[in-house]
Amino acid sequence: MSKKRFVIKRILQIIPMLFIASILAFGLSHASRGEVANSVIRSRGMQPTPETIEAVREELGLDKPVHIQYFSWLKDAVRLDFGNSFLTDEPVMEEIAQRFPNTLLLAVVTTAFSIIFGIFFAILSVKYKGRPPDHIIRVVSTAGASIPDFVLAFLFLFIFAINLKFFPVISGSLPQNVILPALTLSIPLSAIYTRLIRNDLIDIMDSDYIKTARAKGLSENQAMIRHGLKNAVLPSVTLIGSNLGFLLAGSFTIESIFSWNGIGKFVFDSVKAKDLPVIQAFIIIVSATFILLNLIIDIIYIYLDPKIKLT
Amino acid sequence: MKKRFAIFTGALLTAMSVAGCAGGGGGGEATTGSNGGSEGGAEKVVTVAISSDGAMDKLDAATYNGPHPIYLMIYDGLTWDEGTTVAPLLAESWDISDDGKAYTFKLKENVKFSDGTDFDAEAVEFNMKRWVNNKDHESVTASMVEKMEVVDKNTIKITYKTASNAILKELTYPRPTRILSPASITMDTGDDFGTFTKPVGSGQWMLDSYKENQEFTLVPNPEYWGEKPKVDKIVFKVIPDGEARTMALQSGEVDIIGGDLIGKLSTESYNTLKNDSRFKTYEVNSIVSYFLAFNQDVDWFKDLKVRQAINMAINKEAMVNDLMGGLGTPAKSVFAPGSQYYNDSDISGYSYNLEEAKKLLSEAGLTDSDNDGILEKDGKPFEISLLLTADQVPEWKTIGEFTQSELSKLGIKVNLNTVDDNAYDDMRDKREFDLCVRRTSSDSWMPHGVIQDLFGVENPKMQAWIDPELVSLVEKTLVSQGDDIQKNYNKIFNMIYENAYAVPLYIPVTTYATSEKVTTFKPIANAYAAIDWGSLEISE
Repeated sequence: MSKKRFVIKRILQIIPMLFIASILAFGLSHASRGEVANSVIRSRGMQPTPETIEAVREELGLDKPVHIQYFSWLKDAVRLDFGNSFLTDEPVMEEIAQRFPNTLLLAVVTTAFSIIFGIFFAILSVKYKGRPPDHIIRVVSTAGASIPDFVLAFLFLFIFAINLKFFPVISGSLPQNVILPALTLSIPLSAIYTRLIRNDLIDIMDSDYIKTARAKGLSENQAMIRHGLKNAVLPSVTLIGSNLGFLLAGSFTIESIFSWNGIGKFVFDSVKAKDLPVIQAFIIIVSATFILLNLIIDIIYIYLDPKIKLT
Repeated sequence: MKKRFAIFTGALLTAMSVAGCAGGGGGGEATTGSNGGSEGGAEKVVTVAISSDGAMDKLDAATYNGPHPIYLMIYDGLTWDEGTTVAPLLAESWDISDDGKAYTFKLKENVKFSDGTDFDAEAVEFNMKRWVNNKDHESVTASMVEKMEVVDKNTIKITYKTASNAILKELTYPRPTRILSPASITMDTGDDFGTFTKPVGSGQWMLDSYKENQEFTLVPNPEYWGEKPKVDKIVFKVIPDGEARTMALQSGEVDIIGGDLIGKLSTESYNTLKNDSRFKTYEVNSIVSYFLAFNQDVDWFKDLKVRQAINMAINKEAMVNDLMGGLGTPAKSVFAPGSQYYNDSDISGYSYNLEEAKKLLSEAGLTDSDNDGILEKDGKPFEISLLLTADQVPEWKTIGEFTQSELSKLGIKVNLNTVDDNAYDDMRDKREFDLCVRRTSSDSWMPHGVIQDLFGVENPKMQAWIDPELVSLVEKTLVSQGDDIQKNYNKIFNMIYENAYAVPLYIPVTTYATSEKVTTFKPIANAYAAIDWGSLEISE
């Protein structure tokens, strides 16, 4: 199969996948416990009474059978119109678009931090393999991967915002304040990448082509960075990609603690309030993000690694 | 998870106060600009942490967006909730017809909105037309209006459909009963509602700037009819997380944190700040109370003796002092002191008495026949579920665990059912519980709205206990006039107490903390008002 046909086939597969995701999005949000109209009225700050519940059900179209609601939703959703939020009555896409740049910035900076830290510490670890720096990095990376994010968040706020005053506690979604939340989110990821890249790099440094590189007269550092690193990072690409997907879905905890107005907190609040249009749009967008990221990763692979066979 | 979270931050904050961190706290507010109009000296700016967005672009007085206390700062209503009485605000006085339906309001003269336009009877009518007789507001009896007549520039006569004695109280609500400037509404929709442009009221404060989900600032309204506030600007910074609000106070980024409808302060953070000389802390008894509701369909609770025994078996003093750090008062009644019509002169409360409780249960025919520590009746063990959610009030989890251990001493096995907010509402309304942790209200819905929700309607949804006699008494109370109102409320409170229709637990305390530079700070029991913003003062 040619590369082009493979790519086209993969792109066509997106349609049934998204269709399944849409049914799940719709079904799950309808199946959860509690009357939607009741939650919506409460979230609007009003008192639910049998009459208001009836009025709101009618207003939101919840009085119709679920399959009819689904198809009328689907008809608009294919045009990327996910309707209006039950709570704010603003178009869901606008609400999400308003917050997405913040989440995107945080996700990209976090990913950059985690890759840089991961590669740096992996090289350091391999260079001093079996010696103290290696042991320290291995211990710290095990710890880093297991510390809950909110603990790190408060620790960093305590050190860098309250004591050193390098950053404000209230990030206010300002780009110059992205460092602390990104650092918090990147620590567990860097820890995982460090360990993965380290292990791969150790294997690779024993391989024949590195021996060849050394024989050509390259120094140990040059051999590792020019020839070893690219191949050692490759197996981590899938993981980096899917972690980027998670980051793009937002983090309620980190966004709340750092007052970062992103998708995570918005969706969390919407789930609590049973704001169905937002929840459904979010599930579809996140599914699409993951599907696309996986596609991009696969495409990167077939171009990066000629050994991969297309079947 | 949540608990560990709290313990961790608590430890962190304690560590910090011991270390006596750098920075000196507070005061770091460098301000420029001088649009506040203070005489000579530097502009007085105070920064408040708030948990949610101000929704200033949607803060229409007739809608339900944004935080309640902000409505009260920007918009005036006809009346003001003083706690145990209703005071005049834009209405200087009123006259109520003998049938209790027609209200003639004499309006305050020479009042202007912050945009310079006049407040008068026409403006009241304009505002009322935007929300009366609308289904959305039907839980507010003041929304059911027969007719409105503008008598003269400063007099309006409103005839309501029902003679509810709660109307004046309802007119104190933050919404939808507040008055905005008619000039702030564009009449382009072909109805009386129009399109909202910006928040303009006659209140003490007006909007200065707004950055969605980040911050908004209020400055004194230059046209305000009453006393001028002491500070020149209040900045509200949006910080969703409770521990982060505490940290923002410690780093000097905000001056005021706390308040149930502004940004609740956790018990752990409060205690840390209380022991730190760089901050001032404040406590005010709220008007909400926490209680246990019975499911009256459950056979066990049909017996008064069982309900009384449970009332006596829970040591409320210990609950408040040992578990809540003293931040509360044990409750005698389901309603809290400080709310209008509260009266406990005939209520001694069920004090803690385990022996008496055991005696009552044995009189009710309950014995531990198989010696497993759990009482039985007709071979059925006394095992019940306790429904609660920790989403709104984290302390409820502690209440649940304490109740479980207290009732086990009586021989009652309690299984905790801790669920999320939505599931809680749903299960409570469908009566899928045996016992349920519940609360009254912390605001101007006390007591008329809450009494109706808990004991006043035959419809089982949300009701704590339905006794047809009590229901008709509540109905009668809400439309009685004069001295009868208090007499009827007394009967209601006594009836709930004598029949042990619920288990009152305690009245929580609302907490605040401020930086040193805040010199005058007066918290208000009613969560809607929260803080007396007018008297707020800071040192230069």
